[in-house]
Amino acid sequence: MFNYLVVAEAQNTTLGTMIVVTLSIVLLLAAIKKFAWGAIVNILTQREEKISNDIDSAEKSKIEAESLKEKRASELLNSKTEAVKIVQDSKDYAEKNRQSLLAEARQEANQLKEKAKTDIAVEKELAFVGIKKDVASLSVEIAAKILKKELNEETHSALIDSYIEGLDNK
Amino acid sequence: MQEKSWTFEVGGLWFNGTTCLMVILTCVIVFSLVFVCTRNMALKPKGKQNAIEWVVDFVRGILSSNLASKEVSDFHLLGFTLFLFVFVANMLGLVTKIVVGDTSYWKSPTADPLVTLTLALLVIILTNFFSVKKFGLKGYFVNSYLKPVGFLAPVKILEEFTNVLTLGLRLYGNLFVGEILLGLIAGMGISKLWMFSFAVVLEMIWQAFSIFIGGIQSYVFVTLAMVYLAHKLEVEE
Repeated sequence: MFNYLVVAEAQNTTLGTMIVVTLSIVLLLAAIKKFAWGAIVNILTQREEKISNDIDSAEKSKIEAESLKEKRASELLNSKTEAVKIVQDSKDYAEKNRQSLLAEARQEANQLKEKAKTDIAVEKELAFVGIKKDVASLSVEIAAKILKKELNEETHSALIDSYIEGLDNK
Repeated sequence: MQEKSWTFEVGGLWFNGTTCLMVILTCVIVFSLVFVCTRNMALKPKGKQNAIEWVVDFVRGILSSNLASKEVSDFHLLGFTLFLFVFVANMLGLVTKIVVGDTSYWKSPTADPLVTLTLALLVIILTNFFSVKKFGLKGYFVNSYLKPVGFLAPVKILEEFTNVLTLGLRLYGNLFVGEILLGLIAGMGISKLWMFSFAVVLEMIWQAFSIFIGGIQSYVFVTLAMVYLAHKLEVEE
């Protein structure tokens, strides 16, 4: 192998080969740099940026979610107390309403009762008056009838006859 | 045992045709692979994009365990290219072996010491170049050779050359041995008919092991390159 290392001998290929190797490597480097390396570096940087952006935005959304969660919890608490208040209010209102309605109804009922009582009294009075009139007229009529009969002789005797006949029959 | 390579001459300069073609083929394969895999990239990766991103990530892992974190992206492309080049080069020799007469027409380019030593030399020159670029010429000398203690300067200068040798010869040795054994097993298979099926199984086992070795060696090559680079770039106390 040592005769490889001797430069400048007839048919020695050392220098030529060295030149070819050096040139090829340098050209290969240049070609990769020009046609491929940019794309690789580009994509790696892009990915790096994307990952760091993703991490940042994930952190941001996490913080946002956290604050939203707190807000929701406080709102939930608020709405709970509000709901309790609403229920309490409506209960109070209903109670008040009930009381007033009851009082009103009671008052109305009393009024009706009073009215009915006076009505009954009036009717009673009227009825008494009517009956009195009727009794008076009836007694007048009866008296008239009796008087009429007494005034008539024939009738009187007939009556007596009828009575006697009645006695006979008994 | 040593196979000859096909050679040709252009304008008085001789070239090892086999090695040169294999190097160029490696470059073409690496580039096509990277080019195809990086078309229509999406934020949500799938299929081929996943594969290329895995390699990019793997190389980034090697770099960040050696270099300062702000320097990783500066040398990412270099590490990526070196890794893919060495890996594909290591794999190429495992596919087949074409030997006509005494001349070999297909082998791993990294099984040639010239290729690996050139790569290693390139890496060491680059580390020194980046050090000069970072600290200035004076700062580079002081930082690289005179610190932490001045009398170690000769050793440190010598180290630059031994680094080239260790980096290059390690890769070459591993791949060359793999190729030799692949050739030996193939030769055994065609020497006798009854050996053929046995040799096929043996070849498969050795190829699987060589894939492993090739992967490990490309990882080691990039790691060591980055270690040398880190030595040059860090400020010595």
